This record gives sequence, structure tokens and C-alpha cells, in this order.
Amino acid sequence: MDRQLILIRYGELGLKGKNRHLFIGRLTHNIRYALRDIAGANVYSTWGRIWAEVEAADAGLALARLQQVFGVYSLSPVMRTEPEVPALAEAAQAMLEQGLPVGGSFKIETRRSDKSFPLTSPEISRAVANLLFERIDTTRYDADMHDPDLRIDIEVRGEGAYVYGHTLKGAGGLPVGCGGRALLLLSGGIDSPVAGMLAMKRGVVIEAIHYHSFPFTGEKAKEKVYELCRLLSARMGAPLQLHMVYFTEIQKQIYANCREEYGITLMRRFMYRIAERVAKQRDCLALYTGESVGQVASQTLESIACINDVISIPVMRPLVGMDKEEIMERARAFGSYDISILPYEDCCTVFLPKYPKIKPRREEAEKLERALNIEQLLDEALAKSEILTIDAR
Amino acid sequence: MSIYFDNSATTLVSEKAAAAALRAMREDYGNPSSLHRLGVAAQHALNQARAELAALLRVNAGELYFNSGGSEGDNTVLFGAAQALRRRGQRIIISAIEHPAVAEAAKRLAAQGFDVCHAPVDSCGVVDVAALSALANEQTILVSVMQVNNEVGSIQPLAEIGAAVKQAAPQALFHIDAVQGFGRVPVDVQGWRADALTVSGHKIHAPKGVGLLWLRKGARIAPYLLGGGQERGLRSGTENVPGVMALAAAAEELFPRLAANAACMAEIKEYLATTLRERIDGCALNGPPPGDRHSAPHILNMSFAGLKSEVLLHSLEARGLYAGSGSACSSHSDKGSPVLKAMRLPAERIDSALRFSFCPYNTMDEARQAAEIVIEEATALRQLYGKMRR
Repeated sequence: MDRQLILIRYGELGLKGKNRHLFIGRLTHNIRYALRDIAGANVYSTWGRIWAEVEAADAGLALARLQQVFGVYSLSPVMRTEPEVPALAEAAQAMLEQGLPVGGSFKIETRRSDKSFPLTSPEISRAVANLLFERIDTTRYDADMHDPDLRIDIEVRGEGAYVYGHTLKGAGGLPVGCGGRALLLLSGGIDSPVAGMLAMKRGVVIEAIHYHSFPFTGEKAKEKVYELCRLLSARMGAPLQLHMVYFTEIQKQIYANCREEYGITLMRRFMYRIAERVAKQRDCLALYTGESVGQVASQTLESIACINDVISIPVMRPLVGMDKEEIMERARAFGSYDISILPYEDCCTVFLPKYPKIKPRREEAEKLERALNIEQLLDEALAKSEILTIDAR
Repeated sequence: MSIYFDNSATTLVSEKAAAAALRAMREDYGNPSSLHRLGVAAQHALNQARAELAALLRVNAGELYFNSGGSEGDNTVLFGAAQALRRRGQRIIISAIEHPAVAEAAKRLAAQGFDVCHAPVDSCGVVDVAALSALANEQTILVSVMQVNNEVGSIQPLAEIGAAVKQAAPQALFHIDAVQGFGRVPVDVQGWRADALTVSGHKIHAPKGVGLLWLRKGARIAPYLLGGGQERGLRSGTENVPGVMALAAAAEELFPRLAANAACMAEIKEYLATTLRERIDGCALNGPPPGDRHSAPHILNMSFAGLKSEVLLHSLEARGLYAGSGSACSSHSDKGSPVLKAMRLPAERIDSALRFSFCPYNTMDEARQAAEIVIEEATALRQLYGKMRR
């Protein structure tokens, strides 16, 4: 069976000093998880790099999966050859034609760790290039030592030689699992899944919290959230814990006792309170939300301040400076957009007041909440909540 | 306890239909195209079903084509007729309240350059015959109108439309989407002067994934699926024999009792419409009133002022009553039901519309229980929403 070797490069990781091996260990683990259902996939780290080896027939799938793993900077399919100049030239030609199908400039860079090899590194590069120029169409291909379109790398080692050139971009960021744990407020909308993805991109493990309120929201709205969680789990490289919070009673109480225009403000204050409690139970260090300043009434600075006021845990808002268009673009790239736009009622839309308060005041919110038994409502909501483990595949 | 009043979405498969399908899967499982005995037996069974269905429709068996259901039937006729008849003209007329399987296909044809016109409906969801005839001209190649509207249960005046179409646009192919009519109210393709008719199995107690297209002999349409040439070249693909057996069995059960079934369902509809309007403030009927000649016996659409349809639907569901909501909610504003919009109902009526649809298995006892559930839940929700309007 033909095997394909893939070289996995990590960027920022190199900067992390003494913790480097922890980051690399985490990344290797996440890569194994991404390839876990590909039979015979083998992932190992050596010579300061991570390698994956799969059956050649699985290479396309494996490359696509690896491109999604946070912490991967770039990927290259690698050819293994005999450490002899003709074999190296043949591999280099394949790399050249694959990487630059219509032509362009290239450079060959060699590293030789097997010092018993009769040629030095620059000599190997020259010998391979000379042989290569006899075989390729020189009207299309040209050498350029300073700014080549494609760099072909040759490594000569004791056990064999490796040639690679074609490079695919990775997802960047940091490996999930080396940045602490946070709780993502996940509605069914467009923004929150993107916020979750950006959290994971910086290495943060997320759990998600969703507020449902049957009969105001239905089974389909829940299914939509599960689907978003599957997507998040796939990118996280681990099963995702989802907290489904029973929110019906709180919504009913708010609307039975408080002024309509403050409904959304109070609802979100309750959501924040519940999220903080869950976060503390679950050792989450921060909340993540999809808020972007000024996007809707509950996301004006006045609203955010009034809502944030009820908790002390840090709240991360990675979309804070983005326009709706930018967020939608990211949601499409992430694959959550088509799920998010499914039209079911959710907690935030079902009681939408005609004129929500754009500049709510903290004193007013507190005054209205005096009509409610906050602690009891929170306890009841949490008692009727459940934790689900959602797995990508 | 559960009461299923969402029969226009799909139906329970009848025992006879399920048994027929099972037999075709476990015993007579041959491929009708195979040359051996098993294949020939399947071919015979298929032809038998075709003959039975043709008799029910009072058409020739050779004019029936089995397919996967309503959407495929509608798409086949719209795209097939447009392609076959494009040299004769560019105009296509559909009603403003067609099912998306027709409306979306027509939208694509419009994008390809066809002159697609929408015939308006009145406030009850009945096509304006005069307006439709005014649209029909010599360039018209296709007219497609549904027999019964799936959301409000309006029966369309197909005989009048057919006569008008044949006079103003003699070249046009007249297609009827009978997905919500077949097996529930009488079908009369000759009286309507129709050329094509689309039927779906799962709306009449057969399984999902089987349908029927009647195409008048001589009517030209281009095939939509190509391949092994099954169904006389109009619809390639190995025939869904179990589905077809079930469809024939289900139709055989329904047709002899068509009038009696309709009377039972009409009684349920009338009872619910009357009771709910008497006992719930701001409850309104969408579509023709029960008893009207345009009112289908099995579909009732009502609005509950101040409530949201999805919320009421979930409240009823929690009590074991299953209903349908035409379409999505106002928070996703541009998405309200196009049918109710075409009837020019105000936004609040559209947001709060719920559909109850019946089948012959439903009883008056269920209707009485359902009415009480709707009244209780609507009242409770109304109180909650009422408070927040202070």
C-alpha cells in the first residue's frame, strides 16, 4: 500500500520558549484526533516538526482535515526517495509540476544531516538543479535564488531523503487546549458560533451554554444548536460540553412583572448570571459572546454595561469591532452560516419588544428586578438544565 | 394521547399500504427490467398498479408515470414542458399561491429568460379566473395551478380555468398540482381539460418517496431524468416498486369512500372553525369558509391575534396536539408565508397562522378535545403576552 507523508509546520509555537513542548504535545494530540477515523494514520513529532503518514488514497481527506486544525501554520505533502541525485531530481520535478503547473520561478534548498553523503548541501542543490533543467521546459520554468514562486526543500538524512515543495495554508492560531477553558454563550444566530471559533483559534477550550424556552422555542431550535456544536467540536478536536438551560420560567416572570422595553435587558442579565454560575462550576475562566458594539439594541455600549454589571467573570467579545458583513463572511468560511440562518424562533426573538430600550439604565434595571426572586429563579433554571456531550462525528 | 392534525405535511401509512410495500420488498423484490421470472413478476405488479390507478383517475394506464413524489412531478412538468415547447412561446403562468416545487422551478425558468406570470388570488386564496385568462395568450406554453392549496385549503376553480386557458392559449399545457387534492376531493382531469397532473403518495397514507405523474397522450415534455429509459423514457431509474404498490393500495382504499371521508373531515373542520372563533377573541379563519364550494374538507387555517404561530404550535405539541405552521416567523421578517401574503392578509394574521389538516382516521371526539386544548393554550399565552403590553 502506498503511503503519503505530510509535513506539518507550526508558526507562532516556535516563540513559546520553555512551554514549547507542551504546545507541541497538545498540537500532536489534536492532529491525531482530527485523523482518528482514518485507518492507519500515524502522527509523530521528530526533528522539531510534526509528521503525519496516511495511506495515499486518504491523503486528500487528511490534508483537508489538517488544514482545519488550529495551531497548524502550513502543510506540505512530502516525497521520500533514495538519497541519490537522480532520484532527488525526479522528486523535485514532480514537486515543481505540482506546485507550479503553469510555470514560474523556483529555488532548491538542501539540508544535509547525513554528513557521510559525498556532496555538501549547496552541491546537492546544484546537482539536482542541473539534472532538473535537462528534464523541464525551460521556457516555463526558471531559477530564482531571491524571490522564487516555489521553494523546493530537500533533506538528506541517514535513512533516506525527503523532498517537498507544494505548501497548503493551515488554520493558524494556537492549538486548542493550551489556552484555558471558557464558556461560550451560544444562541442559534450567526455571531456566537464565530465567537466560539475565534476563542478556539487562540487555544481556548470551550463549553457552550444555550437557553431554551419551550414552548417559545421548539425542538428544531435545539437541533440547530446541536448541529452548531458538532461543527465547533470538529474544530476543537474534542467532544463539546453543551449546557442546555431551561429558561421558560424566567422569561415568563420577566414579561409578567417588568416593563416590555426592558425585557431584553433583563433577559440578558439573567443569561449572564446563569452563565457565570455554570462557568464557575465548570472551571471556566471567562465567558465568550458574539456581541459586536452597536449591532442591536442589547449591544449598545449602554446595554453591554448594564448587562455586564451583574457578573464579575471576564467576558470576551472577539467580534466586538466587526461589521455584520465581516461576521457573516467568517460564518460562511467556518460553515456555520447555513445552519444559523434556519428560521426558528429563539429566546431573543420570541419576546422582542416593539421598542427595546437602546440606553437602559442600571438603576432602572435593578428597580424592575426587585419584583423578581432572582436567586430562586436562577436555582430553578439550573436545576432543570442538562449537560450534553456533543461529538463531531 | 396524541391527536395528529398535520396530515397535509404527511400522513400515517395505512396498514394495507404498508403490507403491500413489505410484500414488494420481501417477496416480489425483482427489478422490473430483469428478464427472468422475478423481474417479469415485478413488471406485472407494476402494470397492475398502473391500471388500477388509471381506472381511479379515469385515464389510460399508458399515460401514468411513477416517480418520487410531488416535487419531482412538478419539476418534471415545468422544466420538461419549458424545454419541449420553448419554440412555440415563452410565457408561463402559475398561480400566486403555488407550492414551492412549482414556484421555485418557475423562478429558475424566469432566470433563464421565460416570461413567468403569476395569477393573483382573492382574499380567500382562490385564483382570479378573469385575471388568469387575461394573462393567457398565444405565446403561453404552460399554465400550472394547484387543485387544493396546501396552506389554506382553497379548492381552485379548475374547470373554469381550464376552459379559459384552452380558449386563450390553445397551445399551452395545463398542469395541475393535485398533491393536496388527490384522494381527498374528486379529481376530474377531463372536466378540467388538464394535460398533466402531479400526485404524491405520502399525503394519502402511502410512504414518502413515491408519486405519480399523469401526462395526457400527445402532450410533449422533455424527460427530466435520463438513464435506463424506464417509464417509457420519461423517467429513468429503477422503479420504486414497493412505493408504487403502497400508493395503489392506499388509493384503492380512499377512492370508494371519497364522499363519506370528505363529509367526516368537513364536519371536523366546521366544528373547529366555529368553536375556536366563538371562544377565542381575535381568532380568524384564513381561506374559504367551511361549506363554501371552494373550501377543502381537510385543511383549516386560522390566525390567533397577538400570538406567534410557532409558539402556539409548541404549546399544542406539549399537550399532544400536532398542527402545522405555514411558514417561519416575523423575526425573520421577509420569510412569512407567501400564500398568506398573496391573499393580502395583514402581517399579524400571517405571523399567527396555524394549519390544522385532517385525514379520515381523525374523529369528532379528537376535534372536541383539540378545540379545548387550543382554547386553553391560546388563552394562557394571550394572558402572558397581554401582560407585557402594559
